[in-house]
Amino acid sequence: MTERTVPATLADLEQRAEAARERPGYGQDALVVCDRLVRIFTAEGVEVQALQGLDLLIGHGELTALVGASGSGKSTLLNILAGLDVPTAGAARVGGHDLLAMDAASRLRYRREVVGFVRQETSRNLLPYLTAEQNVLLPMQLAGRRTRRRERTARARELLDLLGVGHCRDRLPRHMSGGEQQRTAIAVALANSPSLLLADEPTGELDSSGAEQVLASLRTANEELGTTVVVVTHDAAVASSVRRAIAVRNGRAASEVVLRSEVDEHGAERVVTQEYATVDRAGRLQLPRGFTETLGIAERVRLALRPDHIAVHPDRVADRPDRVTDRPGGSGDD
Amino acid sequence: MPVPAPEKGAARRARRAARPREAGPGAVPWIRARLRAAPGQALATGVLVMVTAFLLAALPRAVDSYESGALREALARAQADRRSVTVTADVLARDASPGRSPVPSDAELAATAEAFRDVVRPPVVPQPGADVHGVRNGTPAPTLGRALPRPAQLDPRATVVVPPREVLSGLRTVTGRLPAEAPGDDVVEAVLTARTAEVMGLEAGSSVRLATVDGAPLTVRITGTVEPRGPRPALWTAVPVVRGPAMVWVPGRGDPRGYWHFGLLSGGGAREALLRLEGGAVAFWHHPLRLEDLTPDEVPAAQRALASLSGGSDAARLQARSPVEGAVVDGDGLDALLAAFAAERRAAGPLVLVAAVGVASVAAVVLLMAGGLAAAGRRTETALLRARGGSLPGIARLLAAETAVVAVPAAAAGVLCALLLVPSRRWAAALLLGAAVAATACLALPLRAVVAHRTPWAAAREDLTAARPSRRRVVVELTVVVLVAGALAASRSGASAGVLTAAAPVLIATAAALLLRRIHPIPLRLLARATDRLSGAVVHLAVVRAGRAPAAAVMPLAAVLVALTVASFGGSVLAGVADGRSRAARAAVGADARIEAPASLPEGLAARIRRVDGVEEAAAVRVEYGLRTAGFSRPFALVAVDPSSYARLAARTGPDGGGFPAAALGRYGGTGPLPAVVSPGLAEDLGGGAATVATDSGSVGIRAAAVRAAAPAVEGDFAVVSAASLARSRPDGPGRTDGTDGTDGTEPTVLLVGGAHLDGARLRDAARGAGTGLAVKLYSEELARYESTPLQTGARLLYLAAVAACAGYGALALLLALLRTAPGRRALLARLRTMGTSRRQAHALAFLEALPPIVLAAAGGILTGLAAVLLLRPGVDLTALAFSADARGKGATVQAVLTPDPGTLLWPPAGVLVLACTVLALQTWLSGLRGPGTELRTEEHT
Repeated sequence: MTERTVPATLADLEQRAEAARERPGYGQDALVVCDRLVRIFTAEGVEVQALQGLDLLIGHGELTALVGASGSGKSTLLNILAGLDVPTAGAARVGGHDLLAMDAASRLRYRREVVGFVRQETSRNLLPYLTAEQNVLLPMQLAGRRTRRRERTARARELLDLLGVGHCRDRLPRHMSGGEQQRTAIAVALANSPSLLLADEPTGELDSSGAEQVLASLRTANEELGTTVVVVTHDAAVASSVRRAIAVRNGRAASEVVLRSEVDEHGAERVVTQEYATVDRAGRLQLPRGFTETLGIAERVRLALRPDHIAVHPDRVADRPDRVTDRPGGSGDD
Repeated sequence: MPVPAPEKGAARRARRAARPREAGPGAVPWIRARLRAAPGQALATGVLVMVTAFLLAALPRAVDSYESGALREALARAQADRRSVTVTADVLARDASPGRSPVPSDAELAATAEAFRDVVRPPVVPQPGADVHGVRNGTPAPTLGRALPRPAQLDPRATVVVPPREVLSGLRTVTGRLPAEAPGDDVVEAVLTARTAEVMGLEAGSSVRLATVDGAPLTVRITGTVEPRGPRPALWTAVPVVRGPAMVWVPGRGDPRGYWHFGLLSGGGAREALLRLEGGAVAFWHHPLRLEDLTPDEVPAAQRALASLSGGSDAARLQARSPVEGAVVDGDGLDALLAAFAAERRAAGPLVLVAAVGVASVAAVVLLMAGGLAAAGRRTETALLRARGGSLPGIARLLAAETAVVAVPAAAAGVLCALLLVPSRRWAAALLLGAAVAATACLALPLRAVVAHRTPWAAAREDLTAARPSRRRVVVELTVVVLVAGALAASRSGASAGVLTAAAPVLIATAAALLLRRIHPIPLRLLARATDRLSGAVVHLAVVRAGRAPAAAVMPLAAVLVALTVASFGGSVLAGVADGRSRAARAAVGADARIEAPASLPEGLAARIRRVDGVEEAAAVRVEYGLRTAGFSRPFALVAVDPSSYARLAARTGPDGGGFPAAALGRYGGTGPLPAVVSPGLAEDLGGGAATVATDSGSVGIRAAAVRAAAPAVEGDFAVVSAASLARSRPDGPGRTDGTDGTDGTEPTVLLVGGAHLDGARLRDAARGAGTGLAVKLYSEELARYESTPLQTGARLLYLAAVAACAGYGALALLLALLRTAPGRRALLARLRTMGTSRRQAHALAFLEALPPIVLAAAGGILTGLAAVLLLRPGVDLTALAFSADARGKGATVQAVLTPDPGTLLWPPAGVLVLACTVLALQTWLSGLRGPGTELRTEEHT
């Protein structure tokens, strides 16, 4: 697949540069853009590569789940997106803020206005000596925007009602159930109208009904307020109820499952899940383990370009290059 | 691409809006919520701040209070003439111009008194209406004739005083009448007091003749006797001899001789007659001063005012304004009193500063530590605030407001108590210190919390064993080491004590605390390795856990160490004072009691003394002072003793605890130099050879048989020989050179008495029964003599209070540390119970885990206390606290130095350990009551 190089004139080069500039850049209208994100932890001589060049695009208003086994790097990614950690290499942009190049003041502004965070442990989301309403008021007060107290209180009540915990307004956290606490935590995270809401395993400590309530709240936040929501979870129920679930494996985004509703032959609406493999900017692709083990794919595969798909063939023993007569990239199997 | 103008404005607006603005008091009732959530902690903080504010505010007031008390007592004890200022002016015959008499008139004297009152500057304030003036003769005039009492054939002398008219008429006439005003011829009228009349044998109508310079005697006719109307009239204080005659002793050989000196009050007519007396006439003004309001701080100003009056600008002003020439102010008596007070205050000042700085530092450390512990306990909460968008100043403000609501009123209450309970006029320092306490308490928690969150992401493992010390910590430690070295150098070189030398014990303790933090894991690691082979798991687990404790757990123990060190330093000061006094008394007396005769002890004295109750030992020795060996200039004392009894006495009461080598004195053949036990200085002089010395009984040769540093009954250099050997060395009897006393120079002169409880009165009775002229000195009485002035007593009480306060703060620091780790300990116990350990094992584990750091801190406290005493001993002189100026002046040459005091070195650390064990036992018992289920239901604690 070689191209023939044609000597270029200066005008040609200028035209090409202008075309490249006007082409939309990577992640132009996405809210969250991660470009080859790397995070390495060093402790006592041991190096751990939590993220190994992760590419991720999340658009405005999406409700996305990040799934993966423990140690796959999803919590690290969330911490970076929340502004609580700084990546070692790569680029990460959230709503126009460059997460690598923030000083203390801009980081503070980012935490206040752009992102909201909900943790797994309910005790770390709420101050135990403030009521639910006071907990929601706190971020507004800390942000210092010039809103009047009445407006703030109204907004707090509105948020709590929206998420279904209006009746817990004047209760202390220890008088609320786990589900109510997490929903209050979501209201707290939404207090300053962030563009992005991050939830780190919010249903981890809850039973199924509580988890259901929390999911419903996240969906409400996403649909009513238009907040982009990213949920990190390894709960299959959560993963199957969001529109898009990105699987993170070995520090990289490996595959996605997207829900799409389509109309079938009888005219009824149907929700179909479709699983995709993520392709990063360099064109790399992670093959699912099930596929590679079934076909015995080890080090190399052969690719063939067809009119509407790419064929991936395992490297058969018979096609080993020690047989000189065969051409490399040779005959397909079908 | 150039940015269009409206976009630029929008960008500017966005930038301005985006600058983080801090919120004012918002809708979240932070303070109320916090107080309701943790009322116990708020109460404890309030109590701590109130007590600390009270202590620190009371400190300068207490110092001022006892200094004022000392000044008042010194002034009250002083004689009346030292509490006043006297102005005198020699009256030389002035030119008798018309209208002016040769001697100043009453009006002129009054004008001069007025001028003095104008000139004198505060704080020297004359008592209004108490001054008196008049004219008297310069020197007491001898009387002529033999009618008056002449005890030693010496003529009595008289002082004639001419007071103002109103003073004279204010006296009550007992007999006769007052003297006439008009000038008479050669006869002058006078009155005297009843006592004078009684002693001198005079009455109304008798006359006295006084010698004059021109030969013609001045006849004074007594017209009556008078008494003052009120108590303590000013004139009686100004010229004391008016009250009654005084015997004036004349120095000379033999029996003391003296003459009577009495006073006469005369009318205005005698003024000119005074010029004829020897010594001329002297106008005097006596101004008693109002000194009740004098504060110790005003003493230097008073001294300056007196100096100015005596010979400075004020003296010139007085002379300019006074109609009487040559007025000279004499305030030396008061000046000497004030100077003595100022000197004592200056001498005791640095020591008091050490105590004050010590207590203040320990209090500050404990306050900071309490704030730091609280901040560590609220780590997750502040992390949450930070994650929700709180800026560091905003979080600090919230935490400071929450603490200030409790701390500021508590500090105010403490300062108020100090102002009310401790009487003093000094309030500025108290307010300042109270404000400092409030500021420290308010800022400790927020600053510590904010510092921990400066970086947005979580720190790595906080283990003590693994943490590599940051560069900043090394810088801090090196700074402290440099400060300590500087303080030690300054104190040893005897430089004036600034705050640096005053802070020396605290700096040493801080350096030791930093060292403890560094080396703390090492013994624990060694212990862990040593215990890992034990069959049970409890001890090893406990030690390993102790080694993994977070760094925050060691901080309170550093505070405990500082508190213990300062407490033991204070104790060593008090012990040093007591020890110095004891040594001085011992050196003065030599044994428990000492009976000394000028020439020789009377017969039978020893027997009588031995019969007195309580006497256990009596050794008769002969001491001759001031002997010199030929060729050497060092004077020494020769002591001739009975070796066995002397050795017994030395064993009881000797300066170096006995061990007197009596045997060395026993071997003497009769010829050659006598063996003697000598002091090191004398041994150096003798150099192993012998020397001849001239004693009261003739010359005798001595050689050094043994060397001791000290011997009972003598100070300085000495040579102790056996009395028997001394007698044997002169087979033909003593050849005494000076036989005036009738003794032969070999009899004992001093009886040293040893006994546990000697009764001075009985001893004196026994001594009196044996003979006269015996001086009896008791050790207990000597010791009581060093009973201090109020200044020293106050300083010593201050030290006692400082020791108690430091020990209390140490215990408090320990309690706070244990309370902080209590939740973690409870969770540990609960988890261990679920894992199957028995209750006893679990409790033992919790116990053993918490103890090693406390044991290290206590041991560190003992070692550091000893080290501080040893390091600071050359530089700290306690003589000012141990002996009053009088005792110092009388030649108490013993120096009081810091002495390690076993009481304050050992009892506080033992108390700390006992307290720790008690609290730990209580905590484990309480957690056992609740059961592991309840413990584990609550959230993550450590």
